[in-house]
Amino acid sequence: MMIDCHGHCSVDGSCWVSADDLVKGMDLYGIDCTCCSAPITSGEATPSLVRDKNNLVLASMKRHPKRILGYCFVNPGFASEAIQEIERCILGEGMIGVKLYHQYKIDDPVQFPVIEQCIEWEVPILMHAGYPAAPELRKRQPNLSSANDFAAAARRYPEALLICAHIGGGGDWERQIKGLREAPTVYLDTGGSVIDAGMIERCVRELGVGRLLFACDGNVARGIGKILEAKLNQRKKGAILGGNFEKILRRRRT
Amino acid sequence: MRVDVDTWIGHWPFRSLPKREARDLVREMDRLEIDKALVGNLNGVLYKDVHESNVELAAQLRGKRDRLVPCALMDPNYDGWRDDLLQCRDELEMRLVRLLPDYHGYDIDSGVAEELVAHAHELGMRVALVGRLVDPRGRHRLDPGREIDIGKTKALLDAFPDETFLMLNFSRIVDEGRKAPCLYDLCRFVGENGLRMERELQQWGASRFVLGTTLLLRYGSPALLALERCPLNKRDRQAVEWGNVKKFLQGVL
Repeated sequence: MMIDCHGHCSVDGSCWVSADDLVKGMDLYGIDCTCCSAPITSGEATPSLVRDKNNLVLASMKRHPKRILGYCFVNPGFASEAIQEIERCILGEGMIGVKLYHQYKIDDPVQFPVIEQCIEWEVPILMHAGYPAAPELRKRQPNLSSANDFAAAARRYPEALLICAHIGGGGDWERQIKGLREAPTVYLDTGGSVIDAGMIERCVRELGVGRLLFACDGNVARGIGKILEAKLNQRKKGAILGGNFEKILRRRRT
Repeated sequence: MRVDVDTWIGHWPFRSLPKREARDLVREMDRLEIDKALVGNLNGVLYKDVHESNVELAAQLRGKRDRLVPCALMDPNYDGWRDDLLQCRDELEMRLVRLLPDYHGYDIDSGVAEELVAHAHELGMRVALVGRLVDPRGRHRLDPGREIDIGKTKALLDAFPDETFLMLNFSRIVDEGRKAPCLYDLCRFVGENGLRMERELQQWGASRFVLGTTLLLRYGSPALLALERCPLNKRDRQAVEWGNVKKFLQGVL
């Protein structure tokens, strides 16, 4: 089973790709299901905007049940509203986890209530992440979580199911891998457009195959191609392409 | 038949590459069922005398010319480059030159770039613009390479309206309405959950695209997988996989 653990869509295509186009791409490449969110990536993520975005994902899930799974995006800066939204989307509507973007770093105390709620239900948190090598790019996303930030969060919450997003998301991926060695409970998704030779083998060598989760983040050929090409046996590829994430999904207590 | 227009051998100064040699590239090509490749030497990215990398490349490709087609690198700010380019054509049998403006200290819309391109064309050589070598978001602090400002390529292209350029690793088509349309590596257009390639083909037609993987810097499979899943009829697929570049290189392949 091939599960893309990091995708984006909206039912009508008003933000990210439409649910129908997402599934069309999945069919083209043989992806069984994609876990989607619709995060707010610029401007203030107010509770009402957040709710609107999540509704677009919920409608996508209803349009393509079993093919599209949903993450509930929240802005933890609105503490009570964030928890209410998580309850609505996960307990009420069947989303499988939480998506966080760069409103705050993963180890910021403002995240703690969200993380604690997810620990209670044993649902994953997919966190936008990276380490842009150029200082000018880091300034554009001052709250982008690096591997070090994940390590800090994981030290506080080793039982949390934290997923560090897209190793190929366009930053110093070698640095991210090295940093994640100090966060052994954190998972890493393999998504993003960067397909540097040796990237996946390096992830496996430094972190172990059990921590890697297949993801495309919209770049399907690249997402699949780099796993297929990596010098790994079929069992390891199978674990990355879906087995590891299936185990995460089975842990949910919601 | 498959021809890869964007491959490299050599040492990349900012990251350890799993494979670097011409024989490694040939093995990768065998594995990926690529018949021929246009190849440049990464050593020339930072050599003061870039032309030394061309001499090295020719030596590395000895006995492999049936599979690997060498591409020259040239720094138009370095003394003697005109003679070097002539040597590339006449002694090293190179018919294509790749431009790396950021690494060689000039702007793509500058007079030196135009002079280099004009001279290459006078010698009957073809020119490739390299939009970027690696994703600049992850570059080393000493790596000058950024994505070429797409808008700035217009001045250079406009100076040579009758010449087709090979555009490597550009994220969008920049030469709409040109008399001699440029060629782009199709597999750079892979976003939108796998559907962008189809849209670009519908908009521009298969005659504008070629296959490029950026081996040995990157994995080769993603480009081939994208091409394989792309809805192309047999004629268009052949054009993208080898026909367009064969026409562009005029007898070299």
